[in-house]
Amino acid sequence: MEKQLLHKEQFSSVEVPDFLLDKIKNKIHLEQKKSSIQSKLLLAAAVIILFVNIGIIGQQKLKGNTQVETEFNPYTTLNYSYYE
Amino acid sequence: MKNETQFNVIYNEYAKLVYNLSLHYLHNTEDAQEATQDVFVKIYNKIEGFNNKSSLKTWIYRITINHSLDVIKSKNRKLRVLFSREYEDNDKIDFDHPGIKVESKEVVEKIMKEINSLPENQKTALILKGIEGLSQKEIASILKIKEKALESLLSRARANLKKRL
Repeated sequence: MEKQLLHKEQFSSVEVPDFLLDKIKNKIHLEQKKSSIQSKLLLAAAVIILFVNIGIIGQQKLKGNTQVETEFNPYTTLNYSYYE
Repeated sequence: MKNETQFNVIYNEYAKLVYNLSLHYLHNTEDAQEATQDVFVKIYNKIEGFNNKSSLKTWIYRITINHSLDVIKSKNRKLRVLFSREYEDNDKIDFDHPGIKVESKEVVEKIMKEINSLPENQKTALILKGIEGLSQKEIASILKIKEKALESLLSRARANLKKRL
């Protein structure tokens, strides 16, 4: 049925509206803008995370040092009999 | 823009093809215009990765077909959510195909609506063969199947369409 009823001659080629190319270029431009903003935001987020991590590590290091200084360490002396 | 001149050349060469093919799938000028825009944005973004394994025309055909099928799927999904019941997909879509010649308008409209309810590969085979008038070889290359497989796909599609009409 399709063979008899549907064929190329029943269709005429439709012209593309003139404004379409401008719309496409605008869309591409917008996408580029969006992706550049996104990559800048990603970079900013990465830098913030890096600084936060450095801060946390620094804090822990400081805390660790003060703990070492204040905590009693039973292995500082070789004279174990001392505890018996 | 990366290479505006190259893009303009591709647009001038293939815009008509993309727009008309979108119309054959979507049956609506507004949707076809939107689809044409999206297809060319995709072409622009992917042209550097195009590896010449197939011809540029075949590649553009594939992008347009896949995009049109995606649009139909998302439209149907939206309609399903909206009506949340069984319905005839085609009746809900406004049919506005300016490419159909007036003398055969009613019959062709009916056939195209029925083609739209066929499985995707059968629909594509019929559109490319019946409306676009491509050769078996070209269609097989677009669908990435052997010519023999295309023949049986076309005969299945025709049989299905016959049943529906």
